[in-house]
Amino acid sequence: MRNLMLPLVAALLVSSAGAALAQTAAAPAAAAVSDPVADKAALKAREKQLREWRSQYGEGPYPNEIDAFLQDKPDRLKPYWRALFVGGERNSVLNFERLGLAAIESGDWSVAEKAFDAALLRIETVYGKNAQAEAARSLFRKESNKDYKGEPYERAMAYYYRGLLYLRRNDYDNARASFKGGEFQDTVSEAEEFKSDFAALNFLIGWSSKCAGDNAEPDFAAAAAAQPGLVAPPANHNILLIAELGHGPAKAQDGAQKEKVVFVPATGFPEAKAMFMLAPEKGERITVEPMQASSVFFQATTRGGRAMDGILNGKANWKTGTQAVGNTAMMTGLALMNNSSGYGNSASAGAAIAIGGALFSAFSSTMKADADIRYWDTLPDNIVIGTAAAKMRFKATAAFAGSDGPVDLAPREVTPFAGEKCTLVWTRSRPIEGMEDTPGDDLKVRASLARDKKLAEKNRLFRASLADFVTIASKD
Amino acid sequence: MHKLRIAAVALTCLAMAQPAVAAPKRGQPAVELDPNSVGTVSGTGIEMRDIIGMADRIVRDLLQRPDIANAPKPPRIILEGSRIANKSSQRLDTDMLSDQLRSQLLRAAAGRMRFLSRENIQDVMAERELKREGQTDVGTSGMTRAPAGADYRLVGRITSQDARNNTTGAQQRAMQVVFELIDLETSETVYISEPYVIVRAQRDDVIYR
Repeated sequence: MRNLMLPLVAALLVSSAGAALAQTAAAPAAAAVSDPVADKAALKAREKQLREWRSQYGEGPYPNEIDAFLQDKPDRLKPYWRALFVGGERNSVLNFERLGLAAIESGDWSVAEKAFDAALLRIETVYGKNAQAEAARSLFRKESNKDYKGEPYERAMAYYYRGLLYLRRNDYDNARASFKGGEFQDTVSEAEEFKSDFAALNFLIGWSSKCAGDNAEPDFAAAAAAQPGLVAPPANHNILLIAELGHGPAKAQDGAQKEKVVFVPATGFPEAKAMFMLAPEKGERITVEPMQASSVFFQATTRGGRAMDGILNGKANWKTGTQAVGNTAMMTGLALMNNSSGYGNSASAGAAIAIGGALFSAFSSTMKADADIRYWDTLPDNIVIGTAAAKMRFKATAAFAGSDGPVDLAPREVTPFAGEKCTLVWTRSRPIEGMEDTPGDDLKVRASLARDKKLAEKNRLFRASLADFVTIASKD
Repeated sequence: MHKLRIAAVALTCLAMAQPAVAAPKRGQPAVELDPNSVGTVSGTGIEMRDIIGMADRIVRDLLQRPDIANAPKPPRIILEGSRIANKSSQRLDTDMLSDQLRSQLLRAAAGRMRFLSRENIQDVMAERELKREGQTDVGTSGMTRAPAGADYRLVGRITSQDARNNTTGAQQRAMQVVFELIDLETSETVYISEPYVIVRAQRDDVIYR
């Protein structure tokens, strides 16, 4: 029944979106002959309709609410704001991260800072007794019922971007704290042999310490140990150059019961190197080829398994086992019925066994071992880092190359963030093009949770809090 | 008797169907909490109660020092958030520490210590210039030859060590905060606070490990 409801909800949302568009188009004409009584009646009718939808399909949000929320948002960030608003609290970490990164690219610094703060606040929240966490462990509910926090590599990247934003503000202490937070996430591993090897974060901890005037040698040494070639910068270097190349991995389900998460590397980007050209106001141009620091795909695939994998494996084994028992019982029962020519005790026993088998199969089909594959779709694949020295303002551009030579990407002009002691130059080889919805979200789970009154209330509060978030973020 | 049995079975089934954990409350309007208490949300890092606690300790320490709190001339001290180095893994606004400390010290010392603001020195210099150019009058307290010089600077350092047990998922963070009063003429450390140490551990749900 619920499966039948989903297309209905989708159709309803599409049709109401059309209605919203039609309302928008008709608005100028209606404004000319505005009738307060008719307007009030229309508003009441609309509210009644929304109440009915809510009682039937859940809290929403419905298209007119989404449109109203997006009205004052810049076009470049609209897809991310939309995903955040629609995705609700359960997907908020992911959508705050995506919004924050898009805001970095577009130079909406305050939004970026607040978005990553909001994401990290939730990442750092410890889930003690939480109904959704319990649901995610339940044999009969999917893992994606849980609030998303991301895999350790995704969490580490959230700390990485927050750290860069602190560096931009010359707040080297908090930049260092952020990078350390990212490095700590990288130590989350089931297996003892997988320890922190996120060289970019080690290097950036060192760089923050250097800029703060502290001893940075141990952190640069840790970076070089994790990534040979990523050596400490000369003492006089005051410019940090970071280029992010390609696209990060996607997640997919694997295994007989979709219980495994596999990381699928992105393809279609040949760039493996970057080159920065710095043109100071006076003097010669400086060319810097940054060093390979970290691969996000490598970070995703070398953590050695999750504790959650054990739970999902257990669920999958149960499901497979009960399915096999059910199928065998059904086959045996049917065979007995066939062999007993339809009468007598054997036929009755066969029927009973077949019914028992069918019940077992039905029981098995209610078990949900599906792994959660929500993922941060706008991450890069590679991070390369370089340093340089300059005493005056400069203009920076970046070009990219693959193993077969230069890649046909327009050189990107980069705005340096000149600090008191250090300057940050950050760029990406490819512009951020994120999805309009939460990547990898299970729409069935979302539709099911939309009908949960407690979660609906939580989402209502979350959406209300976004208004405050926008106000605070716009003050900077 | 048969009906009683059915009722008992039904009641047992109902009891078993109850969720194992009480459902969270639907929401809660803002409530006043004691800033010295643990609060409804706490983590492994420095919290407001720690900031108040460590400021309180330092105030008590300094007020018991006759060479500082009972000097013939009240010493002048600089205390600013920018000189509290946060080398820990917790993102923190160190102004919270310096503001709390300065506020408590200023109020408790009642004139026995004086505090200078270097953060606002540009405003001071601009106002002095206006007075000397005759753009404004001299104010009510008159003019001085130069802004006040400082005798001491109170500096601090926050450090941390994180640990994790990947078998149990437990995370532990040890944080240490130390303040020092530096003589700005001789560079001597005339006071060092007892290290304020917190060690806290937590464990996230297995679904996030």
